[in-house]
Amino acid sequence: MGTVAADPETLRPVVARHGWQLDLSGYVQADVIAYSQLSADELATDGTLLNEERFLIRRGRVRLDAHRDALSAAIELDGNTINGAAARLVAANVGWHYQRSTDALPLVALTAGLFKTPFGVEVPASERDKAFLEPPAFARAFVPGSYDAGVMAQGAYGIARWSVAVMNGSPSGDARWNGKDPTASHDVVGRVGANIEGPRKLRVEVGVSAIAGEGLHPGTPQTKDELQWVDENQDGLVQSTELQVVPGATATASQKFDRKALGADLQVHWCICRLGNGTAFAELAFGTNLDRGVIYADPIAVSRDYRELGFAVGVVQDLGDHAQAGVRYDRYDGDRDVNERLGVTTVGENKVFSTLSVMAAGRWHDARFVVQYDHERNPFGRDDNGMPITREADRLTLRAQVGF
Amino acid sequence: MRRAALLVALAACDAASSDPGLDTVLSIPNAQFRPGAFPADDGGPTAVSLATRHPNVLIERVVERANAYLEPTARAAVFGIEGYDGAWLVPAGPPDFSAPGLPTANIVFGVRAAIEPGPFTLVVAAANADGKFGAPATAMLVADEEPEPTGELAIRLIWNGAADLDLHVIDALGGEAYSEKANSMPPPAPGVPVDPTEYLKFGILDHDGNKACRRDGRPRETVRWTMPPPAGDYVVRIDARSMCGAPGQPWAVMAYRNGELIGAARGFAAPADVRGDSASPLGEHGLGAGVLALRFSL
Repeated sequence: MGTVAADPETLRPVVARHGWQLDLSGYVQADVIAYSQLSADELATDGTLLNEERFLIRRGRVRLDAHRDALSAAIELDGNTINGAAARLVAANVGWHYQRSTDALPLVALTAGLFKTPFGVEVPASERDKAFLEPPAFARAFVPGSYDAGVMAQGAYGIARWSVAVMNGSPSGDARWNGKDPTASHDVVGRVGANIEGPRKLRVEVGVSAIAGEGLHPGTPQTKDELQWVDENQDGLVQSTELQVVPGATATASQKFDRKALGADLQVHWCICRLGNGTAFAELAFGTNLDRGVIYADPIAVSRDYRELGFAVGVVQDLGDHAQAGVRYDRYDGDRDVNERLGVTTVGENKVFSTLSVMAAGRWHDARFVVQYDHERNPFGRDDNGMPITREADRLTLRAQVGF
Repeated sequence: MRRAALLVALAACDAASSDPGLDTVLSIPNAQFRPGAFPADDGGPTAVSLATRHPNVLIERVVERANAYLEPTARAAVFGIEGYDGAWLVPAGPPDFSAPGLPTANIVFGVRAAIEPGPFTLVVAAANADGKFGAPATAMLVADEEPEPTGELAIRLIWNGAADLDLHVIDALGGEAYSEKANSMPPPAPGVPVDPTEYLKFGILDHDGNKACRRDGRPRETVRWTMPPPAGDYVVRIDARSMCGAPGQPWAVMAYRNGELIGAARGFAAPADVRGDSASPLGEHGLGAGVLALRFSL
């Protein structure tokens, strides 16, 4: 990933009530997609709009944090116009922490509620601070929406960082279940890492993450006999030879399946005297049946496991106090074993998504203006030889962000 | 200018088109649109055959099925309509029982209203693993707003405009059916008794489209045999009786035998055609009038 270096905390009005300190913060990300190869002034066959070149509010977040001694609570609301105007709850949690001194990181912090899944570094990072506009494909696949409900313990001791959580296993962006948990079982997620300070403001963060849980293949309800009419001679009249009985079927039971992933991450931060801070980062994740957002993994439906592999590498460099530039490449293979019958031959295929993102940003206090070009590869097109090929999907996005 | 150059430099150069292909006359759901001309034969696998379930394709309805058989090295097939840019690419399917060893390409398709009603040629070509296309297979179909006419033999004239056109069909026995003589049965000799059902053995015109410039919604004329027609040569002529103010009138005529398309033609009627054939024994628009549109034998 790579984050924006935060300005020194500005003075904010503090609201205190019954010993609780309330802190209101938020940000707005107003985007304009200036160019998109996918865009067309048309409707798709299912009626969805194909135009993508538009203004939109990508995120409008308001967050309220409350602290009283070791207790805390937070609630965060989001409004956006991605698919029309929408408002939703993205985070709501309560917490308790133990720290040996007020300026140290908590040795143990407990959180319960709706919060970001502690897998890797891209998923838990705040969208407010990310240098690039959107997460890489593997993060959108493994933990779509980033937020899930559960309980989490995390802490720091010396250079060590750790977190472990028990969560529903249905993140807010889950393409099938939309954040509702379909099983009584829970996902176990965690990360163990180290934050190592080096000479000359060099800092290295490294960690490994894991997630394990169960997914659900949905069963089917019982159906009745149905009468089907196919107008074979296209005369608009029903003839007995055009009628067919589709027999009813008994219900089928849902089935659970195992899913898991292992990830590793590395970030190196530096400071070049007059140029400013810089970060190089790399994150890698292997998964089995974990995709819940890009190519939904349902191993029961295909009678085999989905094996997934994704990574992202990049670098972000400040260019003085008011400018920043970065480049990121991410690649995600959502099904490494997929094959397809093309004629009389069975051929292996790639379900690979990759994006080369080039970003430039200007900033002033808590305001940012970002220009990002994404050169995207995907498996949605078809080449002349029948194999999947990228369907043109490059885009240029401009974002204005102001936080408070 | 610089921005455009940057976008061109960064844009994918070996990617499939993101164009949904809604401007083309052929529509194939869930296929990859391939803009430009239909690919030429460059030594790839041959498309062995192409067949549809009906000879008529109802305009603006995506319900017709087409099945193609391809040579064994085929990995993909591209479908298009002759004379129109834009084609649709689908992966080749496995062989079926009727032609083991031959890959298949099965689609559901439709034609949009932009197509001129009448005959058109659906074409399919196969491509191999290198993306090289081979010789295409074709199927002659008819774009119409109605299904193909029923009957032992049916000849249908369709057009879309104000002109008053007449369909003339001369059967194998020399009888002619047209708007002023709706049955091709020859007139009986004087004094010879006539079987009251005899006329059913001949071609019967169903309707005079745009008669006297009174415009029909969808002008059509069909001469139909409900009993087996006599063997021999048949001639179809199209007579422009009146242009009714139209500067010109495209038309199409199709012949069906038991629901199968056996011949089709397109033409264009101009004001000069209204003069008809002065050699006609019944006047300019009588027997034998019009231009030759189609000739076939049974």
